Amino acid sequence: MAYLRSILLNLVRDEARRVSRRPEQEEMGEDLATSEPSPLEVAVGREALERYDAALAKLSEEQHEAVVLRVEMGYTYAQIAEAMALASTDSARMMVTRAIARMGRLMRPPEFRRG
Amino acid sequence: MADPIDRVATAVSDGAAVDWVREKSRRPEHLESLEQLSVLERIRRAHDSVDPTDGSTEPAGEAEAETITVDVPARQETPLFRWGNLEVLEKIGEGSGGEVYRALDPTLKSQVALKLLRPDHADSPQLTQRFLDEGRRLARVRHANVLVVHGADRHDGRVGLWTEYLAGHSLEHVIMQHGSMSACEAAIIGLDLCRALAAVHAAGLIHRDVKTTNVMREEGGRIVLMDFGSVAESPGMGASAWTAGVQGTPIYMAPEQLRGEVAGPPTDVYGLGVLLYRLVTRRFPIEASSLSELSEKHNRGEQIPIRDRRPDLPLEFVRVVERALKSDPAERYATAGAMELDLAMTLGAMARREGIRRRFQGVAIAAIASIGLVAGVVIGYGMFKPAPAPGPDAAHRAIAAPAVPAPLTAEVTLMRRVGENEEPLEPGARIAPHELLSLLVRGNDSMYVYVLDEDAAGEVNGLYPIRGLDPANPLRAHMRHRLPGDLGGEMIHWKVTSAGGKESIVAIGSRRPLENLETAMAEIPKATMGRPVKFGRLNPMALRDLRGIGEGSALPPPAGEGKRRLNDALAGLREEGRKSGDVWVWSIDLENP
Repeated sequence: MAYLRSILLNLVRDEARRVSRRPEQEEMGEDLATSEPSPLEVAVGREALERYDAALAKLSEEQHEAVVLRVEMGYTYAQIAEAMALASTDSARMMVTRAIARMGRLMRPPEFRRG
Repeated sequence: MADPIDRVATAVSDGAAVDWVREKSRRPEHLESLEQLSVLERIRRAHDSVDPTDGSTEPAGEAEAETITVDVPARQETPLFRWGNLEVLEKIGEGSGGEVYRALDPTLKSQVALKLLRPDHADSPQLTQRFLDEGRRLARVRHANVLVVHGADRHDGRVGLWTEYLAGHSLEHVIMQHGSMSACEAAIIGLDLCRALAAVHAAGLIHRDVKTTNVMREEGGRIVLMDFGSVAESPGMGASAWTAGVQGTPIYMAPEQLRGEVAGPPTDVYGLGVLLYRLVTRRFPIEASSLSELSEKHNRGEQIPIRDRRPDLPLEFVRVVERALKSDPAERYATAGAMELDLAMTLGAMARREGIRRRFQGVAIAAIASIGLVAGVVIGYGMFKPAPAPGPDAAHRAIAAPAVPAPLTAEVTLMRRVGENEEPLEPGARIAPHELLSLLVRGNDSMYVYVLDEDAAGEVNGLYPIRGLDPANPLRAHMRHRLPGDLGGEMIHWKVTSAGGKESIVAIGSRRPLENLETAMAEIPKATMGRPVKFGRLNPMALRDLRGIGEGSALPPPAGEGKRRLNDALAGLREEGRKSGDVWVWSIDLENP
């Protein structure tokens, strides 16, 4: 079951990320039309997104999943606990928080990555 | 959680609001990690607003822990009118050319800001074009610190531009409500604005109106540059000059801008320099009551150095601002990126000092716990929030102060902390060991303040100023300051550590530094973070110096008068204050049986 759930989650996650990063609709009027960045790129910048992806790739599989579920898919801690078969919502919160703190350190430009 | 990164990571995860500027300025040694956590927060918020699953999951954080804030419009609002697809809900601003509304975009399922050209301007092709140009220019700039434009259109004969809706306040509002900022806080904002301007310049534009009212600090701390109504476009192929014409706000303008010229990015660098100057002083480098006076002062190079207004500012920060404010554009930073680099290095230097200070502070607090307290007054490290924000600073005036200033005076109140509350102490009040004291001071002019304490035995020690605490001398006018001050946003108190019979607390204010007093105070024990004050007799030399200050009373002290009360020694100063109006002395006697 865990294996199946993981595959399903990956499918949903990939689709969600695809849609959010490359939106099909364009809100710009003709005069202002641009086809370039997605709202996500606008909000944080392409470089930051690349650093985010690179940092995600360095997390353990569990932490990676926890961050994507919380940050990208907006799961509640209860939903994360259920999806990841964790003991409690507190465990889920702890898992996500630690992963996010680690992301904060991993996303720093190389010259700052000491402590 | 002790680790600030873990604490902030928890807030980001919970969806709780984080004041990023405050967090970064309090922990500059973690600046880069906090910066990345703020990126993570934006990624999260962006996903929330895109919401590709369209309601198939609950909004993040809903029905969870107490720290969570959920940004949902609380009530169903009746639209004032519709404009195209948008439901217009509330007028939130009005300018010369247009009106700004808060509106709901049913497609985006979010609130937007809608700027509509005023109906009486709708027939003017030039105004319509200018309005649309602003949208077109904004759309060329895509950056996290620049207002996001969603679109521009014409409906029912009205031309409009809709953008993201920012919940927050302008930087002008922030400094007027909460007082001027620390160099660290201003530098962090400066970094964001350098990045925003670099994006603007990369799009071939010059903003020309960088000022505190055109920058929003969103709830959560995101800094957003807006108002592209004065933008100049890059010269086209073969052209040699930027678009000319005086556009912008005179008091923020570079000298060349006042002449109707644009020097390219250095023109915005100057505007950013003025903005940073204002964030830390609430004043302008050149103040004038008319455009011609402003131009003349520019021509004469009559800038007020920033350190004349805030002598406590770190030199690195001062240098960045002063370079941005050079009259000759060629002497300023050539690009916003170059200024960003210097600001980042400034922050790095401040962060290193902060790291050192925090390590020292840790040792000092540990010392308090281990060595026990002897007699007298010790600086107590109270883990309380800082005092409430002061009111607006009446010192912000474009017109010079009158030639003869009013006599210096101040409202002074000694406060005692009782549980979570503070109570004022009257003369003769009884204080007791372990109580925490502080002094509220609000002066009618900028002034140097010194606070001393003397007990019945004539033991004297210096209570203020204390190196490293905020505020430092001189205290700014018309603001309520709480002494001894804050350290990293946490309020510090004087702690009564034992009985001393009687205590006199004396405060002295002066328009200029009292060098003799500072010398005298260097000779008497001082309250130091975490270290009980060592008591010594008042040095007769110090007493003589105190008496001599201001030439009010230079009588040499009689032999053996070391225990003479400090108030006697300060009689000369009081006299001086009465004569010149440049000095005041305040004191309170307390029982400490």
